[in-house]
Amino acid sequence: MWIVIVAILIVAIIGISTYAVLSARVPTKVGIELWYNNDGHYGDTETALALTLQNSIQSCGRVTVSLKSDPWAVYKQNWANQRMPMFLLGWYPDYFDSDDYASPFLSIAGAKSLGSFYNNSQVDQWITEEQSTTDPNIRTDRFTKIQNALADDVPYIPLFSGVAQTAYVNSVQNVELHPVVFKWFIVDKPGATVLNVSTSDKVISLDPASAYDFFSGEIINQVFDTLVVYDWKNATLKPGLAQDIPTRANGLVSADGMNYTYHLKAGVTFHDFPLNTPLTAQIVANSINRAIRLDLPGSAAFLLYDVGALGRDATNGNNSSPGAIEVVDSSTITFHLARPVSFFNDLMAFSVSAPVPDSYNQAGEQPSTAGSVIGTGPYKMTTHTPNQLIVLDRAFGTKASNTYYNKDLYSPTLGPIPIMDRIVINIRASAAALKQDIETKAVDVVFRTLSPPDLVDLQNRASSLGITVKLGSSPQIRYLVFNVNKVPNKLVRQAIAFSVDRSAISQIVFLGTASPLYSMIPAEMPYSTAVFQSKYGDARCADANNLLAQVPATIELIALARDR
Amino acid sequence: MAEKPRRASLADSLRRWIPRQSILGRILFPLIEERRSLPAVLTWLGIGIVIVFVFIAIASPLLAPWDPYAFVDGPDVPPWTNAPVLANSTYFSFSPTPWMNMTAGQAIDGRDATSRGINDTVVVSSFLLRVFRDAVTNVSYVILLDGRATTPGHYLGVEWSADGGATWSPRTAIRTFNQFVRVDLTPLRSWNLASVEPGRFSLRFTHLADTNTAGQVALNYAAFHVVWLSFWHLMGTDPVGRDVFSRVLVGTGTSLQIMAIGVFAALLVGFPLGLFSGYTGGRIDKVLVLVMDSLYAFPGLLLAGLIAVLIGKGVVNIGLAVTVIYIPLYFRATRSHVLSAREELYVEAARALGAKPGRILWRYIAYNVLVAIPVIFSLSAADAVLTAAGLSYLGLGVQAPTADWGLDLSAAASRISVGIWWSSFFPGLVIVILTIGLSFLGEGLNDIVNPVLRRERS
Amino acid sequence: MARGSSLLAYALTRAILALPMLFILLTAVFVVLRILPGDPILALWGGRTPPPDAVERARVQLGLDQPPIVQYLTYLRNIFTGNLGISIGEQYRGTPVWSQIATRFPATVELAFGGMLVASLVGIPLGVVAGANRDRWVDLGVRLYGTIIWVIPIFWLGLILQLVFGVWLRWLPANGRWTGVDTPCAPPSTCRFQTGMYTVDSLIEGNLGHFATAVSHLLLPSLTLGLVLSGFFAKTVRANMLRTIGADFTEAARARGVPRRAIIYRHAFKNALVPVVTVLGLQFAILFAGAVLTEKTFSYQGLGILLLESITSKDMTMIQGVVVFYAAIIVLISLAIDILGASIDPRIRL
Repeated sequence: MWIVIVAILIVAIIGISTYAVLSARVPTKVGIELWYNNDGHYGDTETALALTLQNSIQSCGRVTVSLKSDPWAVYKQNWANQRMPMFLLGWYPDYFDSDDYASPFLSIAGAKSLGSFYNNSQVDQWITEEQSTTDPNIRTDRFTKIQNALADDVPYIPLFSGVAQTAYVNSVQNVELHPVVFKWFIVDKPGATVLNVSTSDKVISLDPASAYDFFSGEIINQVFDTLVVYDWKNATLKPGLAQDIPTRANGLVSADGMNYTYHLKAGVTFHDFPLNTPLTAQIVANSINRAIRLDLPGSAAFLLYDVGALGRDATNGNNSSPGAIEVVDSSTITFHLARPVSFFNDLMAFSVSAPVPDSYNQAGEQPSTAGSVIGTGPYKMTTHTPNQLIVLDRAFGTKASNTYYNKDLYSPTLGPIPIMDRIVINIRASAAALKQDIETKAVDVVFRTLSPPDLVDLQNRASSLGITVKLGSSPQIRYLVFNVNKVPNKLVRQAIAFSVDRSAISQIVFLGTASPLYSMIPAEMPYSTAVFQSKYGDARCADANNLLAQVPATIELIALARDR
Repeated sequence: MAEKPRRASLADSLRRWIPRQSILGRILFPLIEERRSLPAVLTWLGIGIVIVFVFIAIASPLLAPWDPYAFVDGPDVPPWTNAPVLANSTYFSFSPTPWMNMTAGQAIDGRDATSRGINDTVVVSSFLLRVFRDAVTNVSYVILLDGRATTPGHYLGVEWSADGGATWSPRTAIRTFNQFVRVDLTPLRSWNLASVEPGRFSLRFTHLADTNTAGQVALNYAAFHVVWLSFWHLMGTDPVGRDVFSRVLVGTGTSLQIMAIGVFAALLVGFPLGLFSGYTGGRIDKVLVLVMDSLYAFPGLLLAGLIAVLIGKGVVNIGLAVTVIYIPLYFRATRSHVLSAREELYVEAARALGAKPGRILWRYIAYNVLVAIPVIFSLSAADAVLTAAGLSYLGLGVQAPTADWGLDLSAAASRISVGIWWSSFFPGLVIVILTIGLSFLGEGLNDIVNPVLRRERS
Repeated sequence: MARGSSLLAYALTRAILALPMLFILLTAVFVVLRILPGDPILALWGGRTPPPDAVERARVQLGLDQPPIVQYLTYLRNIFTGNLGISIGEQYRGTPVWSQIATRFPATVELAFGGMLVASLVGIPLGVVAGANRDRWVDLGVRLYGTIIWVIPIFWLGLILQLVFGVWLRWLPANGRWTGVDTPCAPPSTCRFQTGMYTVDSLIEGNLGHFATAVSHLLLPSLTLGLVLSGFFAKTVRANMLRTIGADFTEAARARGVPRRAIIYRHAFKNALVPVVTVLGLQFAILFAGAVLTEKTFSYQGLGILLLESITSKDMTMIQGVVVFYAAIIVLISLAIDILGASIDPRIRL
């Protein structure tokens, strides 16, 4: 009797496993790998995003997507080494010009460093033309052509715009989700002198020559000033250290667009008490040369020497090209660019251009400890416990006698800046800890980054908790990259563009908090056209499969690398 | 009086095939003969649990009610109920229009679509709703007008169509600003899955004004809301809408594979090394012991993680990474058994009779050491399941979309803070059941094959 | 005198024996880190092509231009002179490894103590009761408890506790080490010295409110860790109780007519404690390396998370540093346990 039972079991097991093996796979036409980062570089939602993309592409029935992931340290080499045929990336603009959404992706050099290896000399030409002019007609024309080429060749598929979000107790005012950089020095909590906030971001470096991530840039923006700065609410430029913003009209930009002159404001000093070093044009020049010369790994120095056309010359000690930076007198500096750069002012507003005193380490990175971070900005950093705490204190004078040189920058709307005497920034280990902080009102503001379910939960309970949840558009874009060398067939790329479902991403992954993106240039930027919407739309499986029907049967599998 | 003929027991029939002193016999006979003793009960319980899991692993494609990899329902559907799911979507296409700044897939972020001309209309459609089941219970649309950007006296007229724009409803005037206006359409017609499909529903907006003065109206957000009842799921759905129960079933295979690979590979390496090292002794033994002790001193989970980073994330690779933790375990256990067996009388006798070292090693020592293996095997198997789950939890283990308990648990862990417990609770629960089964098996066997303990007990 | 010197000799021998182990561990770490996929230098620049002079400079700076054997010797020399190097990972780039370990270690110590406390309070009495009532229902219950709780995935237990006490009941904070802004001893408060352990610092500061906050944050992680460990504790204590209850000296006491309770709780328990302390001490040492799963569940910034982060970001110097630190602790504590054991029971030294 036992033998019979065992025999039946064995037969059943064999039968079931045969069925399982046979029923597992439906024949498909194209197999492709989708890579994503798995250690939280883009937050905890990345796996769900990859799953949703996989699901929407596969649900059309003709393409099999296998998911692959790597931690960021490996991931960022994978695209340079051409290991990933299709992968998820994000972009945060360095300077607020539509060019920063075009040239890094579609110029030949840019496409190489961002992993698509897209190589179209015609597009490259249009980009150079768009970069060298401020004429809106030419720029409109070139950007339209560039975006049409993008939609036709599909080296990238724009997916969605990031959403900036913050939650704060109702009494706090002026919490502005600025499109470029968050400004703590305009936030007001009436009746208090200290503002307590928390974030889950991490400081990587507070040396302007090294920092190239959002949070480090955010702190640098409070402690340092740049020649030009942004308005408090939008990306309009305002004079910072400079008296005026150079334009052709005021003669500070030469007619050929290759020379920019800045006159420094008087009475600007660093907060290196007790020296209080005054800012000079020579210091500005030294700082920019320092960033170029050091060219620290992972830094934004290329924005100066490459994008900004200041050059990096080995014969000049790896400083900018000889003669590129001219110190006219102690308060006047002129930049002579190798070619016209229409958005050079925006580059001068980026943290990498922030002047640092000559006492900074000239041979390497300046430590990010309190006391070593010295700027001219409204706040000075008085405490920095890595991964725990940053304290910013009013750098000049008191609230009553504010001696900050640029205190009336946003007057009369906002009154003298900085508004609070002290900003205490708690660095938390997880999004859940941020939620806990604002739920218990342990802090006044939480900023970056709540998880979508926590965000929706807080939104629903906002009035009972007495808090405000604010959502805003973020200039960050998220997109799919095709390595065109590994996915050379345009039809496959176009078919995937048809099958991507942005509404599913928004609904499943972000619970309705993300907005879809139909061009690499987001909708709020000038010259943006939603090319992917008219051409591909969302989840159009029939169109995708029509294209795939034209794909020759020989390319069955695209780059299925070793499973590792 | 004739003796009642005794039916041959299972043990009797087994006795014919399996010698009592063989490895199997030393385990099997106590299990059958003393099946009411605690160790035997534990062992049988463990065996039962393991068999059930093996069966589930093999039969999971048949047992799973849903495709474990597909998004089959709304996200985060609670277990054991047909929960109402709110599907909402803003429009993804719009007609050519004088309205400005129209964007597909508008988010509530302060960016408005505006109209400056009175009676300008726009038709918006392609509300990409995700409704999976024909059980629509409530239909409405939601409008948010921006009061700051709208001129007083100007407002919005809205008509809707559920047949792709062929017929339009009467116009509704929206004159509320800065807060969501929800217009319920449920009673106005009969609704089903087909009538809310993308492309069927459209809205037509018209810029209206009380007087004929110039001004603008600003639309911040417009969405189509459909509430539908989800399917019934034993364990609910996970954060992207996959069936938790199906994934738990299919994940059994993943766990068992990793466990089997990890433990067998460790056995294959650790056992011979331990035998060799223990029997030969001397310098090699010392070095091996030192190396194994050092391996043992490293935090096991992170060591396996480091190896996983090194060799990759497939199921086999993770199994091999897990091995690293258990090689020292098998090595040490085997070696200590060899050391004691080496001094036993029968080994001395064999040696005195001139048996070759190889034969002594295999025939006399290995054979006796093997008895201890099932115990370590099941205990380390339980541990291997936990380690694999831990690796996945830390993001160092197998990768999505593999159905894996640890991975599913960690993907759903962030939902705990909003009280969504089922998508992480159930994968954890099956880990617990399997590991309990394995450790019952291990502890029961330990009591059975370890004669010292048995002598103590009697 | 003689006893003291032989104990010292024993301690020295043990310490010297521990060295090769440390050495092997260091070598293994060195080798594994160098065969990990990806180039640490190129990783610093991301996908961008770095300028050639910068790559060369970074290579020289990190000593990666040297042949492997020279790198290895430098690595060993640095470690034995206490120089753990400077992090090269994305997140901690440029900060000394030692300072990172120093900021994380107090958190780990707090959690280890908390976990050990819960585990001892729950596990040891259970083990004693089970051992004293061998083969009765209590014993069976404790054995089942020990087996089951020990195989529960710790992160799952943590999530459940988080759900119940943090989300549903809202009694305890479920995340992090601190709610609020001023951590204990943060300025303006003045402390004579600061340990980084919030419970201790708040006592130094004399701020009971802070102490309550610190404890409330420590409670759930400690409970999670402690409950799981208590299974192991109960089983260990029970096994040793059984051994000592059956031993000759307890038999002798019984023959002398010492009451059963006294036999169990005075003689047997006391003698069972020696091996128990050894085992539990080692467990303690392991906790000092950070309980990475517990730390991750409660977003608790300890050493375990640091090691995890440095593994995912392939921060070679940080991994090396943490492993070395960890190995040193294990060696030190096991040494201390050995010596403790040897001073109690001189036979061990033979």
